[in-house]
Order: sequence, then C-alpha cells, then structure tokens
Amino acid sequence: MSNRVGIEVSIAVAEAVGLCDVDVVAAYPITPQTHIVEHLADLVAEGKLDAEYIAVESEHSAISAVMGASATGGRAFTATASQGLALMHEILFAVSSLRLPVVMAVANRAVSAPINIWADLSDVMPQRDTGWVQLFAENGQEAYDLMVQAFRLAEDHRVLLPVMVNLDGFTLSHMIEPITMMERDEVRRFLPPIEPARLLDPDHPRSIGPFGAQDVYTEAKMQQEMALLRSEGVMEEIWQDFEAQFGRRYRAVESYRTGDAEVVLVTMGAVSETARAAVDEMRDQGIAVGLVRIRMWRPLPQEQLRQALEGAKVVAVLDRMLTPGGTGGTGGPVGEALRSIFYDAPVRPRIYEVVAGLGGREINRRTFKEIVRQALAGQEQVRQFTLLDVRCA
Amino acid sequence: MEAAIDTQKISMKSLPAFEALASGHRACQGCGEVLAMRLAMKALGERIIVVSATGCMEVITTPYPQTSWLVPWMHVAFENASAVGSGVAGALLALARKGRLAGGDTKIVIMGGDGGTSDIGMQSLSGALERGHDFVYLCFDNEAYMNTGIQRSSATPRCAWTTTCPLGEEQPGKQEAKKDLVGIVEKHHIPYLATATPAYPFDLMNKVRRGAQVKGPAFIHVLAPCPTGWRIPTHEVIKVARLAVQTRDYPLYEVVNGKYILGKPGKNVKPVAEYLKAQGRFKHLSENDLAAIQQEVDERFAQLQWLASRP
Amino acid sequence: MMEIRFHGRGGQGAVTAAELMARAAILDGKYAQAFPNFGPERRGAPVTAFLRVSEQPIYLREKIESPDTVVVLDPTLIDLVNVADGLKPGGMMVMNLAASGRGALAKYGDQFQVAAVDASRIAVETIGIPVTNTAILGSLIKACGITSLKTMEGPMQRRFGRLAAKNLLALQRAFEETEVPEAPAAPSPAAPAAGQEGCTYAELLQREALLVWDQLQIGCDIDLPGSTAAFHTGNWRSAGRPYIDREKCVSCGFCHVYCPDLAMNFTDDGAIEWDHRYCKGCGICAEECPKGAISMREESHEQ
Ligand code: SF4
Ligand code: SF4
Repeated sequence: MSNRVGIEVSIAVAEAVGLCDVDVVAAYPITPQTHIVEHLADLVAEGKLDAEYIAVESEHSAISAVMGASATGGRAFTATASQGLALMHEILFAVSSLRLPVVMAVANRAVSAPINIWADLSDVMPQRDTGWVQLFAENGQEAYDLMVQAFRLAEDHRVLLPVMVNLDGFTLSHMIEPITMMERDEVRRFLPPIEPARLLDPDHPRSIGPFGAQDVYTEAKMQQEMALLRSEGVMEEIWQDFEAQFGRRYRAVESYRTGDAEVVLVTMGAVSETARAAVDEMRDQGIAVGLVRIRMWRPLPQEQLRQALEGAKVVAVLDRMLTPGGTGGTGGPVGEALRSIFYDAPVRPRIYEVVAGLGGREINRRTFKEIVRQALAGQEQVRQFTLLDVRCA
Repeated sequence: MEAAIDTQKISMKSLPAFEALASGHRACQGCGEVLAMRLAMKALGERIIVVSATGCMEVITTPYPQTSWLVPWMHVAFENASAVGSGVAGALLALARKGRLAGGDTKIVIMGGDGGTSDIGMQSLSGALERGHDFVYLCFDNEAYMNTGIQRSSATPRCAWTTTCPLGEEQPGKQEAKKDLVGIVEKHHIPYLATATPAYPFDLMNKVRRGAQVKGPAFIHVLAPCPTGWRIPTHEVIKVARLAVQTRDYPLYEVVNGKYILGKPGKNVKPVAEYLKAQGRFKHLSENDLAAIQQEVDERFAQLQWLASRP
Repeated sequence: MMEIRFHGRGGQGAVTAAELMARAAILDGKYAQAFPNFGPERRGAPVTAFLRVSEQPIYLREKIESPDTVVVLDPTLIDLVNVADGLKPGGMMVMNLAASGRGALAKYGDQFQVAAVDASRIAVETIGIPVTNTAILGSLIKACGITSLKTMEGPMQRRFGRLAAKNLLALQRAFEETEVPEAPAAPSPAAPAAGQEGCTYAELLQREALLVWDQLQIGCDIDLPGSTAAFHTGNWRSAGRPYIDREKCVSCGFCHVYCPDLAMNFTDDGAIEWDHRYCKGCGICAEECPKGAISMREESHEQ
C-alpha cells in the first residue's frame, strides 16, 4: 500500500489535524505533547495548512482561544498533557457546557508532584466529569484515525460537544511506527466542512455563556447530558462510515479472545497491545484469559462493556491512576466503573483491580501475567485493589 | 468590505443613536460602570463581537432568559476573556481568508473589570497584547471586586476601605499602592492606549473609536465609579468621576504609538482631598494621609507631564 | 417554629435585619437561622431574606414557602411584589408604612393581622437616614415576640458599633409606635394576587416558558437580543423620580447621555422624555443637567 509510511505518531496526529482543514490551532508546549504542535506550526508556516496558529501564553489560554475560535464558526484544535490539562480543567467544563465542537489531543502523562513526564492516566482521569467525549487510542493508526473521526463526531449537530483523543505519552506519542495515511480528498469526503449550529455574528446577535440561575441550570445540564449520551450512537454510525470508506473498523469496546475466558483483562490506551501479546502467551500455556479494551471512556458504553464481560468468572482491571482515599473498590476509576456496571447484574464476576504503570513505570507482558496469576489465585486485596510492584521494606 | 467602526468624531450633535445595550439590565442604581460600557458601545456600533470577563457587567446584562445585548456577546470565565478574544480574532482571520466569513468587517471588543484585567486576567491580557491581535480592550476599573461584594483588588487605591482591607487599628484600609495597569499595558508597545471616564462622555467615546480604528490591540482604561463600593450617593457618580480628573488623581491621556498625549489641562486644579472626601471609602483619612496622597498625585502627574514632553 | 420572610430592596439591609434577629434569638437560648436569597439583581431591586426561630433544633435548610410572618421594610414594595405570597391565613404582616398610606393595607385586613409602623420617619428622626432595617425589628418584636429589646442590644452593638445607640433608639421607638390589631376572626385562605406585573426573577422565568430542557438554545444561549427590556427596573425606585421642568429644559441631551438605564430619551421631535419603566431613580440626570431643569421628588401617582 503506497500510503503506508513509518512515522512518529505525534507527527501523524498533526498531519491528520492538518487534513481536517482546521481554521485555528492554539497551543502551549508541554512534554510529551510538543511534537504534535510543533508539526502543526510547521504545516502552517510552510503554507500547507491554511490556519491561524496562536502561540498562547498558557494552556488555560489555549483552551480559551479554541473556544473563541469555535464560537466564531472555525474548526479549532489544541493539544496538551499533564499539568497543562490540569490547568485547563476549569475551562473544560465551559467548552462542553457551551456545546463547542472543539477537538483536543492529550499525550497522557503523570501529574506532579514529584514532577514526572512519563505516561499514566492521572492527567485525564480527573477530567472524566467535564462533559467531554473521551476516546483512547491504542496505537498510531488509531490515534491518527481518531483525530479525523473526532471532528466529525464533535461537529455532528446531534452531538455538538468537544472530543478529547488520548494517546499515551512517549510510549505512543513518540513511537515511530507504520501508519496508513489518508488523502486530503478522502478526508474531505468523510468529514464535511464545519456547519456551526450557531455563532458570534453581528448579523444575528446572540449571547453565549449567560448567567443561569437555579431555574435553568438543571435544564442546561440535562440538555448537555442527553447530547453526550447520544454521542455513543453517533460515534458508532461514524465508525461504520469510516469502515466503508477506509476499511478499518472501530468499536467503543474491543474484545479479544474472551469467548471461553475465565479471566478477562480490562485495559485502556497503548498498554493494550502488550496485554494482547500477554494474552496470546498465556493462552499458549492453557490459561483461559481474554482481553477487553475500552476505546470510548465517556460516554461510557455500559451495555457493550457488560456484554463483553458477561460470563467471565474474574475481571482483572488495570487502572493507571490511583483514586486517592477511595473506599473499597475504587483503586482507580475504571475499576469503580466496572463494579457499578455489574452491581445490578444477576451474575457478577469477581473484580480484581490493579493499579499500575504510574508515572511511566514499565508495564510489560510479565505485568499482565502477574495480574492474571493473582486474579486467578484469588489473592487477598487491601481495600479491594492492589498497587502493583510497589517496593516495600 | 465596509469598515466596522465609524470614523466620525462624536459630539452631542453627532451622537450615534445606536445602543448596544437594552435597558432592563440589573445594574445598581447609578452604576458608573454600566454607563461607561453603554457609552463605549455606542461609539463602537453594531459591527462588533464582545467578549466579556466574569464580573458585574456580565451578570447584570445576561440573566437567562434575557440579555441586554444587541450585539454578539460571549462570556466564558473570569481570567480568560483576552484568550477567548484571541481565538475569535484567529477565526475571523482564517475564515475571511477562506471566504467563509458571513457579513462584513467585524471588530473584536474584549472587556473586563479591574479584577478581570489587572489581577486574574493579567496573564491572558498580556499574552493577547504581545501577540498583537486586532481588538479593543475595555477595562472598566471600579477599583475593587464589586460583583462579590467589595473586596480589594490590585487596582484598589492606597488607603481605600474594602471588605478585605478593612479599617483595622493596625492597618486602616489598603496599605499598598494601586497597580500601574496602564503603565504595564504601555510596556507592551501597543498602537493605542488611553484613559477615560464617563464623566467626560465624548472624550470617552472618541477614544474608544480611535482605539477601534487602529489595527492591532488598543486598550482603554476607564475609571468607572461604583456608588455601592465607593460609598457615594448615586447621584454623585458623575461628579466624583469628574473630580478624579479635576484633581489629577486620574489624568486623562492617550499613548499613540508610544507618544504620550496629555488631555487639556483643567483651568483650576482641585486638591485631591476634594475627590477623596466625597467618598465613604476614604472617610477615615487623616490630614497626613491626605497630604501623602496629594504628594503621590503630584509626583505621578509630573512624571506624566515629563513623558508627554518627550518628542 | 416561626418562619419569617423579609422584603426589602438590595442595599436596604433586609439580610442584616434577619441576621440581627437570629443572633438575638440564639442569645435567648433558642434556635434560629437567617439566610439571604441571592439573585442577579443589584442595589435597589426587590429582594427577600429569611428567618426561622424555634425552641427546638432546626433541621431544615430549605427556603420558606409559607411564612407565619412577613416583614416589609420598604413601603414602595407593597404595590410591586406580592408580599403576602404564601403567607399563612391569619399570618402576621409587619409593614413600614406612613399613617397616610395605610389605606393600602385594607385588602389584607380580613385575611391577615397587619401591624404597621412609620419606620421610615422613625429612622430619619433617630438615625438620620431612612434606613429602616433596625426600626422594623422593633415592630416585629412587638408583633411576634421572638426576642426582647434588651437582648437586641448585644447584636446591635456588635453590628453597628458607635452607631448602635441610635439604632437601638429606632428599635425602641418602633416598638412603642407599632399598633398590633386583633387577628381576623375567620381569615380567608386565599392570598391576594400580586399587585402589578410579576417582577421577581422566578416569575419572569415562568412567564417566558423557556425552561424546558430540550427547548433551551444550544449551550443555554440567549437569542433574544435586547430582551431585558421586558424587565422593568422602574420598580427599583424608592426615593423619588426625576421631574423635568419644561420651561428650563433646552433639550441639550446631557441627561440622555449620562443615564445608566436609558431612561431619558429623545422623542421623535427632539424633546427629552423620561421613561418610568426603566428609571432606577439614581438622580444622576438631575445632578448633571446643565440647566437645572430636573429635580428629584417623591413620586406622585397622579402624573
Ligand atoms: S440635561 Fe437638562 S436641559 Fe438637557 S435635555 Fe436633559 S433635562 Fe433638558
Ligand atoms: S434618575 Fe435619571 S439618570 Fe437615574 S435612572 Fe432615572 S432617568 Fe436615568
């Protein structure tokens, strides 16, 4: 295939954003997001992308600027990581509440202190409740494809919500790997020009972001929530179209060798490929293990997850963020979500929760094998989760 | 494309009939800030997009389901109006270039109070000024956080009472000087900068118009008395704002491409005590305090004269 | 438990009144709560504050819907807001009203017990300004008990410092001058309808019927430019309105330029016209008119 190239994933992500004909990019540099925005700056500087690149003075201003651009009718993009995402936190709520179809890439990285630049999900997980659609890429191809799909989802008038595409810092963002690139015409066919649902226009004045008292705030939240829930179905439609045009199939939840699995691993993000390799090796050893990967985290595809995990005796979930001080079963947010999903089920799997990979601590095949070994052995858990590999005296 | 901003000089005869704000807004009786905003918007006309920081003006003009605004208006948060405005500017440029911009030329107007400008919004303002987007920034300075109930900001003048610089035995009123916001903005070397107050409405409107005509950032600092926070009777709002100018506590001037232009000197300069004594927030001042403030005022004005004397 | 609603205007101290009373009741060993009702309206706008007093611990943190008593600090509110809204049949109304204006109370007479006092006059005579939030408490104590004048001294001292003595005098005077009539024999349960166009924020929202979640504009936008014009802030005036002396007015337009509320406007033939619907009564126009053509005077309803 002629379009298949070896490329750094960050560069590919920027290329995808470029193919989407964005109008405004506003960004502030932070490791490990930098290569994405540097490459976008290159595209603009070289005249390959007709957009305004606003080199803002902080992430807070980056997300604010893309809001302004989006409200003016432009297609807008930003990218960040870690502290930068934390700094944006306040404004993330406003983007979704004002229903602005902004797209953001997050090169996931741990949050200070101690300062640490490597991958985990402790930057994005605290943004869970900001009302964004949140997608997680497993590999470079997926990160690249999701960027294009994200704009289409965000701008769909049934949705009109911001979309966040997460890719693991370094282990995914800085990887050179083969990616099948799309052509501009193909992308234009898949992603129609943005049609703003409303905008700041002197010919049709409106007030965006008014003061909403007790009487209307609840209704505003309801409107927003219904749109977010609706986005699950719209995303599925978009994935079907994408498959028809590009031949690559995406689902909110991916299952791998779960058929007769006794224990099913649940993962998100780039570690999932390693998990798959570990599953294969364990299968070879006769262990009935499968893998479920969550690609869409918000809105949570509850029904798909429940079905994917139905029949498993043990669900071994890997969280890459610790929920501090949680009560039993809330070692991390994914574990917590799974426990909720199965609370009402007639047959509940045992949920074995592990928190690992914090601050870029290596997660390899041995990690998954150990998780499965512990889960099958019914190992005792303090507060119902295990912080894997923590060094003790 | 038709220019967004009318270039005619505004006088009572040529007063634009246009109002960007409807009545029925919820500002306090005698609010000097809403008046200043009304006048500024009159000067700007209808081809504008307004981005507002959080504050009194945002709350009192948009109580859902009503809005006072007759021009497009957007509010996101307290500290980021300049950044939101930067994004609007970016999109207008890109869309115009790509032939996707509906309507004609549009001017971006970013506005905030003293807190939203010289405190929490300082960073995003500085960034936007440095990047040089094409916008007019209106800072309506009423010298404290009035929206939350009169708390001290960096723009609160020395000695003034607020609820967070109360009149304690140890520390009567604000101990520190007012932040030199205009000086800070000036150091960004933007093409147009001016001070104004609604007590001189035509001066204010013409400065706003001049600022809006330059390409790039323009900054209008407006001293806008708040009767509630300054502890003044509502009918004296304009009188007090005028005294600020007449006593040289708040001199009117412009900085055009770096050149300081001082407003016409008043015939008889009044002692600053007249301005201060008119306000309840200064009623505790001793003669010594008044003398010290007078000295500060004189020094500041001398420096301004020196700046204006440079070629 | 007794539940009380205070009606005042932003800046008149209704919240302070509720607070002072709560502090006094707590000093008496009772349980009490005082809390404001915040909205976007500012100084001058009709506002409410709430007070609960009980011999037993209070485990309620909700708004008061059907008070036992309402207290009205500002006589101009009586025609503007439904001060009797939700008031229990036979409930107490403590009203600040000059003797000459008491005719307005007739409509309440057979449903509620109405205690009236000229708190504005008392306040001017004792404190020097027509701030009625302390005087009215004297009337409330006379009408409902709750606490004693003696207990009020501590909280008043704490709140007003060197101005406490004058405020206590206002309290005392109002206590003495308040007449509390007998309760109506068989109070009718129906509350009187609101005097004028509903003017609370909540009522307005109801009327606009823009509150159903799937009918909101995307992102809760407002696409009704200039729609606050439907909200008449004229009822924020409490201390007079501007009168234009046509002999003196030269139609120079300065009042139009300086009015924060767009309530002085040119008519088609170039005259200046006052707009009662929006004027908040700040007095700037009168102060700034170069011809001295505007005076602020108490509103006479004939004009
Ligand atoms: S300012 Fe005075 S003279 Fe001028 S138009 Fe108004 S009322 Fe008439
Ligand atoms: S008193 Fe005069 S200036 Fe004030 S709101 Fe009324 S008309 Fe306008």
